[in-house]
Amino acid sequence: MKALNRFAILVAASTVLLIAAGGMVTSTGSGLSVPDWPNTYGWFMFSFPLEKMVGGIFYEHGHRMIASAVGFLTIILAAWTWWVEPRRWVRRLAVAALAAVILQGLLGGITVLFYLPAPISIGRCGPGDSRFSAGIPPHPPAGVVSRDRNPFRAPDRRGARDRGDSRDRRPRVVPPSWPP
Amino acid sequence: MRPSSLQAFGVLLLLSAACSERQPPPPAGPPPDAKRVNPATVGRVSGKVVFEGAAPGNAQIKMASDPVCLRENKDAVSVETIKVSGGGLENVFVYVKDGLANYYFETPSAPAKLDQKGCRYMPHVFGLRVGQPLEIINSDPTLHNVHALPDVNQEFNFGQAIQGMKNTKTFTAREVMVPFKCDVHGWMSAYAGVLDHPYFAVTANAGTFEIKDVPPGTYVVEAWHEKLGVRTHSVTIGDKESKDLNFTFNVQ
Ligand code: HEM
Repeated sequence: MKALNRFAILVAASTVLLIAAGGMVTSTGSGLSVPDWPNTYGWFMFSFPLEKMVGGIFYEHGHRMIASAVGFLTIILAAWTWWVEPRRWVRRLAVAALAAVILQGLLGGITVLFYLPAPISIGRCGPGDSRFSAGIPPHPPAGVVSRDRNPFRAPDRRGARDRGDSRDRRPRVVPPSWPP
Repeated sequence: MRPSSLQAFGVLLLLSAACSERQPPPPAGPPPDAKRVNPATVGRVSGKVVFEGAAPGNAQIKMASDPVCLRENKDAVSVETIKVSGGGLENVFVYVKDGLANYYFETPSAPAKLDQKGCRYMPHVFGLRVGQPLEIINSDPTLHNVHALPDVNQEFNFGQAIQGMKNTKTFTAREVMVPFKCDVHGWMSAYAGVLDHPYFAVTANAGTFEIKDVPPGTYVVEAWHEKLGVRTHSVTIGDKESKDLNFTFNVQ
């Protein structure tokens, strides 16, 4: 369980990086610098030459690469959690995290192909990215993100938090909220 | 909302985006009451777009994000937003906005050209006709995306990854102006005036322009500038007459 716990933290950290990279795409205005998807300028995205990552392509293609890595890590996380986690709701949360990251990826592609249509950009970037992805992938198997080796002790921890026990220094698990 | 209804929401968004794609109708043939221009009576409108006051300096372009662009521009390059020479303003699109009534003009088959050279668009401002092919060329040894952002015509965005690539596009409706941008190189911008007649010009050195072969009549002539807005004048051209028309722009 400890390994899964650490892995979940890694996935959470890489998702934070992904969201930051997405923010860079928007703030540099490079959203449409790669006009095609899932290819990149006709190249299979993973074989796109590094030296061609110039100007806005650096941000947009970089964002896609990080998103692919996060997607890959989330697949492993979901499968691993499904395999070892006894609590059904945690397993479901892990699968929901995977579904969320796939949906985000698809919406990312669609937003490119439809030239950043406002409904999709707002839908994914407003509530979508900041909570949907940040919420689910970083905190997928809620119990797993705790430092406790025994997932069955999760209710105790929640109890401690609910009582507002300030001595409890263990990481808090905030389930994704919707609507934000 | 539960995840399942969220996904349905996503699909709805997708559909709404697909439905909002506008597809203007292709240019029609000559209407039954169409008039042809009589070459024996045509006149000319020429003049100058004057820039009043001190010209603001144009910001220098920082091309460091693409080593190829840096290499192609050994000397510092500035944006061409407000380009003043000899007291005149360059890159102003001057065109007959109104008054041509039911004249009909054949669509030229020779393409208008937009080149990407030294990580700049050449020309920066240009005119072309509805239905006329626009040949877009990448003369740079780097990648560009060509992103047109019209209001009336169909938006497009495509990549030109290899030097020498050419793509041809057409616009199906009149629109002044269609902006172009390259999202790879944020400083690259161009503007195209798409018209259903040939009476337009772009001011060159010293802000001068000339619109030839204008049939006799009374017209509204507009001068458009990307930053400073528009100025309009009315002008009446008699048989074979040449008229001078000056526009004045300033930075308020
Ligand atoms: C898979 C998980 C993904 C996540 C979590 C994610 C996250 C983000 C975030 C947080 C932003 C910034 C939004 C803002 O500033 O308002 C963003 C922007 C963007 N992302 Fe993603 N992204 C993902 C996948 C993708 C993919 C696969 C593509 C590829 C095509 C893509 C294309 C874009 C584009 C074009 C923007 C800029 C949108 C704009 O300027 O309006 N994203 N993304």
